[in-house]
Amino acid sequence: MIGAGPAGLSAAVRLLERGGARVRVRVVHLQDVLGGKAASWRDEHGAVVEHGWHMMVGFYENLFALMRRAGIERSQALASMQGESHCYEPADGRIHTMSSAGGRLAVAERFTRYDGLPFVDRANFARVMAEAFAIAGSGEPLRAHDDVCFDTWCVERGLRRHVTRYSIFRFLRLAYFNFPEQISAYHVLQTLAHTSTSDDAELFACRGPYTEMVWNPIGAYLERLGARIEPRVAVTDWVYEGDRIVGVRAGAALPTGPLTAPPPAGKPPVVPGSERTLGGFDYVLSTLPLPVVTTMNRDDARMWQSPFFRRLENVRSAVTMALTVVTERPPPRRFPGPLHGFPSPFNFVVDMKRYTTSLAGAPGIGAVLTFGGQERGFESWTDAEVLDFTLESYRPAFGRIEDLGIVKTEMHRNRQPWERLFLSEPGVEQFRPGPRTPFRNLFFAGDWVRNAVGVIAMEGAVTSGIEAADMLLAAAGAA
Amino acid sequence: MSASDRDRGDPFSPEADPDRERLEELRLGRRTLLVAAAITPAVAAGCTHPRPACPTMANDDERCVHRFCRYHAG
Repeated sequence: MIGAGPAGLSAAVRLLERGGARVRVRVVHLQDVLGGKAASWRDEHGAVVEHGWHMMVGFYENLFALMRRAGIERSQALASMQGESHCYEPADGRIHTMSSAGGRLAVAERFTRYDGLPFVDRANFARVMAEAFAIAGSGEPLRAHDDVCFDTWCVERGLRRHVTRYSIFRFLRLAYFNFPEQISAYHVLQTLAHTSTSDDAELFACRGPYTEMVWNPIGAYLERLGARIEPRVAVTDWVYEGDRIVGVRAGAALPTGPLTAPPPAGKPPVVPGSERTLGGFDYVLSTLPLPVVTTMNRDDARMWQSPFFRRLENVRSAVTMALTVVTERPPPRRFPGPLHGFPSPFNFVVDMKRYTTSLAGAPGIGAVLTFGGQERGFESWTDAEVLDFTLESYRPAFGRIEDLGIVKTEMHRNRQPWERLFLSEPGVEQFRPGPRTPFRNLFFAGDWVRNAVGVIAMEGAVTSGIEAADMLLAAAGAA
Repeated sequence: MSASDRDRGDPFSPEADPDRERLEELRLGRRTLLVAAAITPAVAAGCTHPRPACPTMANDDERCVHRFCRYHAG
């Protein structure tokens, strides 16, 4: 098993739970901590740094089941955000509250009353959204809707073009962390399909650092099942004979992640002289992110000109950004749930103070504002410029954040290949591979690998891991 | 490719692509659409009007930047 993020942990658990005594699992992964792109770190002062803000949604059945089997009490680990989101509309300068209570039909009906839109546009918007909810709930395969972005999908069905400029459309892309990039209509419809009831659509924040609350207990469960987990292993190339992987080139990884200076782009940095070939396995299940896979065996022209591998180069990934601003005093207005619709690069924010167990009564901390977004278009801006712009942009929500007494700010950009997120732009579904590869004993899993959940989320990665593990076991005759 | 490679199978041949059948179905679907487009009167009359612009774009001369979108004009 390569990787110990949501996909890798899920797949490794599945292999051992289903394969029993006939299966032995060795997990190698890049970082010091478990969780991959959903990991958290501690800085030199012990403060938590997350790769980026993540939330769980009520339909994350496979992840919740994995947590349950690992002994994680859901109510201890997760806090409900009360089914509310808040949408800032620059057109009227107000913040409008959206509720996911009641499921698909109730939400569709609620769109008819969304007061962030001028009255004359509401009926038009509600009619198109009702069609979107109906198609999403029809049970028909939704991949056919992948060839346009969701905005265009709506305009083709009669939405007046200017309505797509309202922040409500940013809300509809909120789940994908790479907005404001246009998202394939398939991915938005797939999200609507997954959230047919209030319970499915409930949003949850983690009550503490993800790695400590979720991934470490799952890792401990995995070790109880018999897996061996080895951190700081950087995989660099495949070694193959015919259509079988016979070795994996790897080295001792130098520390990576947002706390360290960025290494040169490309392969993960390794301790010089530590490269070796890992062998002695029958199967490899790789959950390496796609931008890492595309750095491997680059000198192998036959591999990269072959149909399967050439297709992978059509799939792109996004650089996400994370910003945390800790203030001494609370903002004048508090919002349960995420607040979004603000200018890029940080389109949304959640005040994590109210959800984080250890901060509930902490003196001297008024708010822990956790912002998220993607870097595209802001590559040349310095962190200081981005911070100033963001504080200014969020005035309609919090007033002057500087006046709340800023205790600390922390910003990072997930630029490295192993940090990037699959970009669900229109038309890329045709290029997403399934778990099987041209190598008989190599399987892929991860957010970018086609899976039943489809949407870019931890649940997609976890489900992809399960599907790849099942295929591997079937191939091995051990299912 | 060595003799042992041939014995084991070539992972880089089109036949080794695990998504081959799925993609073939996609291609056939598109071919059907192209045939339908080819028999429209405009095409029959030799119309060379460019592909329609994305209906979401604010200006008619704007073009969709998403490479695999139906409206991408690249």
